Order: sequence, then structure tokens, then C-alpha cells
Amino acid sequence: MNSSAESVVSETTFAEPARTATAAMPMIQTLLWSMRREVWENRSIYIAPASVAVALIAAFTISLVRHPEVLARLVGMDADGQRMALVIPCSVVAGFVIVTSVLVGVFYCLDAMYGERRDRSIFFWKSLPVSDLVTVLAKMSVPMVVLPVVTFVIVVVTQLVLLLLCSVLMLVHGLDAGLLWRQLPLPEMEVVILYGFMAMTLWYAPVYGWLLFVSSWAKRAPLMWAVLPVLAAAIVERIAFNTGYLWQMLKYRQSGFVGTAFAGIVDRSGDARHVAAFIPLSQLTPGVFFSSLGLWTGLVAAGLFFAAVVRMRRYREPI
Amino acid sequence: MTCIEARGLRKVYGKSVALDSVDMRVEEGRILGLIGPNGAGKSTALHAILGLTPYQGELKVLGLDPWTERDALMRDVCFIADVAVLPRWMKVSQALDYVAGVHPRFDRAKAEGFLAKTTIRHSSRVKDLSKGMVTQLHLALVMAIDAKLLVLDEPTLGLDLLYRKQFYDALLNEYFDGTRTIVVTTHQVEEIQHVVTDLMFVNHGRIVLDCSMDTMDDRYAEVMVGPEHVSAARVLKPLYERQVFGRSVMLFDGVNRGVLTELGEVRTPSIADLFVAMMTETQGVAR
Repeated sequence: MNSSAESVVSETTFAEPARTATAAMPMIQTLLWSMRREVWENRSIYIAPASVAVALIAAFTISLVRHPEVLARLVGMDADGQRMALVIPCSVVAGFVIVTSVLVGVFYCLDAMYGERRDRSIFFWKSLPVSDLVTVLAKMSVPMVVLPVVTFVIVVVTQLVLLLLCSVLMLVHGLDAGLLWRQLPLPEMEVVILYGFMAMTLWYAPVYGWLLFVSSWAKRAPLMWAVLPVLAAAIVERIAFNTGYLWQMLKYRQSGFVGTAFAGIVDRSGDARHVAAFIPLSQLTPGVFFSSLGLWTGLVAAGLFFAAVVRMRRYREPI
Repeated sequence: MTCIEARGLRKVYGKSVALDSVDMRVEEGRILGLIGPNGAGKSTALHAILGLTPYQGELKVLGLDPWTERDALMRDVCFIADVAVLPRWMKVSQALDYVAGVHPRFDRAKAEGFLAKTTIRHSSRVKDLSKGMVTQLHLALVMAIDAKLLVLDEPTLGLDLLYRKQFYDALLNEYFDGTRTIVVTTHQVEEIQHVVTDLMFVNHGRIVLDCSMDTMDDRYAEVMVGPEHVSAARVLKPLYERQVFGRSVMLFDGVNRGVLTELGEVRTPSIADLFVAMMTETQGVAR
């Protein structure tokens, strides 16, 4: 201690020899714990998709119990018809659960960097030896890894439960339950779902990056800041130049991955019957997808947003 | 070894100067009480030390630059920067698990030991705990971390008197080992009177007093001046004068005790007395 009167400190005393700093926990360990804590905090990561799955199972159960003749009609169809009749409900179930998961991801991202500043818990997180990089990595991994994995497992389990349910009902009504398992190309279907889901997640990476960035930057109402400026820009473009490039860009970012990830199917005719009934693996076009400019510009944008979020977390103080 | 060293530390928010070229030095093994009115710059100084905010000037904490080497620094520094910052959704058991998972110097058994002395249950969520219990939980977590520097910003705010006393006892007996450094700010200046080894008063972004408690005992004296000695006492330029039961109590800086004894009853001022005297003086309030 020195009072202001004696504050002349010699240069030699300032430069202390490097201290033996405590070794850090392995980065992967702090990352895994940080991801775990995100799941603790955001239980909707699994509750929301699981609830939708349970609701769908309940709906199908009630429907099949009330109209068992549907199952009898299935037996009377030709092979193509049977496949379609089985694949469509399975795809619908997967679609609902996946859309739920994307919505959870969107709202998660909007709150991920904002919530800890609003409730000042950032002071607690920052008091622990977990770097901003690891923290943001853990948060980015929720929509990019955790949610897709959890959701995919829920989708598969839901489809299996529905198949078992149908099997039981068919046996009860004296029908050939084996038909379900013979006609439904289950492994192929799951591969297609997994592939499509993965393509979509990579395609949406810049969207999640943008939402995290707004969440890390906004002092209030991150949802408004994330949506309104973009909409306003699109409207201004339309009025000022009578063009719709930004709007096209947004639409492209919303569904553009379908065209490259499933180039085979879309090229044909877009006939839903083809899409649903024959999901031959040969129609997946990962080559086209992974060499598409849209994917890579998106990933670069996501990377830039990510770097910006790490920086914002360092500078931003509680609200 | 020096724990904290700052030279020309400065922080400006817009037009207001939160820290105005502060020089400070805290040696290892000291317990520093940082005292100042609201908005004096205490929290800004602590945030700079903890790498929570960028600053101008030179600052080294445990030999590291807190802004650029924050990740390494946080392994050896622990802090409570504000009251009630524990995430409300978290369960007590999750808090223990998480800190044990990420902190190389966290002693879980020790934290459980502190918690066992409270009524906090492992299954409770932070949002269901009382304000005092949240503080107890946070202190239990922090005191179980074997840090070289512990920074506490108003650690006992919201705690009742009984627990405040217990807290400082635990801090001294179970945590402080003579090599660790502790920096604590508080509004309850009386309660740290016998805890701190060093004292620093901050006002308007400047350090207005910086001395050890030993020096303080030697330097400052408060005298209950008899009415017949008042003018004689004023000649000695008291730092501060107040009236108690119609008699003048004057606070002197660096005046020989022998001289003062002749004026009246001499005693060592409390931190609170000294604080009031210094703040009144630096704020230019008329006596």
C-alpha cells in the first residue's frame, strides 16, 4: 500500500516475474459443463419437442382407436400406396417436432446473451474460469448441436412408438402387423430425416448467429431488434427501388437448402407423391449441398457473428 | 509480492469520470477495505481489477493484465461483484456441480461444509431461497475456492446482523490464511473495523485515504475537547469537528498525542468517524 504522496513506484518493482498460474481445466471439460448448464437453464430444449411428440402420439392414438377401418384399408392397398400411407404420417410427425425445435432454438438464441445481462447473473458466470469463447461456443452449440441431437432422438422414438401402437391395434383387429415393418423403409427414412435436419441446421447457422448477436447487443427487446430492422430494410428497398432482393434473400435463407440438399427430388416435378413415397437415398445430394455457395456464405456469416458475440460478451455490462 | 498494482488508472463513462488517475498498490496477504459513498468509483475500480471493464492506465493483478489476460487471471481470482447475481433457475446442487466442473481450485467438500451450517437444501432453487440465503450460498461457493485474490463488493448486503458477524468470523478464521489477499467494499464500515488490515477511501474517482490500520491508529486521534481548550485545539487544525452533548469532538491528523492529551480525552477514531471526517472534508461541506 502506498498513499498518494508516496505513489512513485520504481519501474523495477512493477514488472513482477511471471507467476505460476493455476492450470486450467481442459477446455473440452468446461465446454461440456457449460453446455450442460444451458440445458439445465433451458429445459424447453427437450420439454417442447417432447411435448409436441406426446401430443401427436395422443392425437394419432385417438384417431386410430376411433377409426380402425383406416388400418384395414391400409392392408388393401398396393405396395406403393402402403409405403406412402406410412411415410406421410411419419414425416408429418417429424416435421412438427423439428419445427418446434427450430422455434425453441430461435427463442433460446434471442435470450441466451441478453438474459444473463438482464438478471446480472453474468457477474456470476464471469467470476468463474470459463472464457467468453467457451461460453459463446456452448451457447451456439445449443441450436447447432444439442437441439438437433435431442430432437432427432425424439423424432425416432416418436415414430417407433407410433409404429408399435399401430402394430398393436392391427393385431387387436386381426390384421397383419408385419406389413408395417416390411413396407416402411424405416432406416432409410431416418437417414433422410437426419440428413435433411443437418442440412437445415447448417443452413440456419447465420440466422442463429444473427439472433445471438442481437441478444448480446440489445439493451432491451432483442426480438424487436432482430426482426424489425430487417423487415424495415426490405420494405424500404421495395418502396425506394421497387426491387425485392432482400426479401428474396430472406426467403432463400429460409428454405434454400431444400433445393441443394435434395436437388434430385426438386428437379423432377415437386410432386409430393414422389417426395413422400420414394425417399431413395440416391436422391440426397450432399455433394450439391456442400458445394453450394449459399451454404458457405451462410457459414462465413455465422462465423463473423460468432466472433462479434464473443467480443460483445467481453465488453457488454449488465443492463 | 504485490497483488494489485495500478498506475494512472482511469475510466470515463461518457462525460463522467468514474476513476481519475488512480494509483494503488495492494500487497499480498492484506485485507483491504475499500470505502466510499455511492458512485465514488469503488465498483468501477473493482470491475477494472476483475477484467470486467476496459480502462486506461496501467494495471496488474497477480502479475497479469486483467483485461487482456482475464482467462488466466480468473483461475486465481474469485469475486462477488454484486448482490443476488446467482442465476435464479439454478438448483443448489447444480451450482455445486457446475463450479466443481469448471473450477480447478474449488473444494466441494468445503462448500458443502459451509452449507451444512445453513438451512439451505441442495434441492432448492435459488429463486426459492431468501435474499440472505442466496448470499450465504454464494459465499459458500466462493469461500471454497482456493483463490489468491478474493474480491467482495458489499458481501453482506441483505444479511441479518447475526449472519454478518458469522460471515466475517468465517472469512478470518476459515478462509484467510495470511497469504491470500482480500478486497472488500461495504457500507457497514463498523463491521470491518477489526477485519481489515488496510483502508482505502475513495471519493469522486480518487483515493482520498490510503493507509494501513496500524498507521491509522498512529496517525489519527479524536479528542473530546473541554470548552476551555476549544480555541487552542482549533489552532492545531483539526480535520473535522463535531458537537456531541455540547462538547466539541475534533479529529486530528498527525498531531502528537502528548499535545492532544492536554486538550481533553483522546481516543482512536473508528473507521466510521474517519470516513465521515474525510468525506465531509473532500466534499467541501461547511463545518
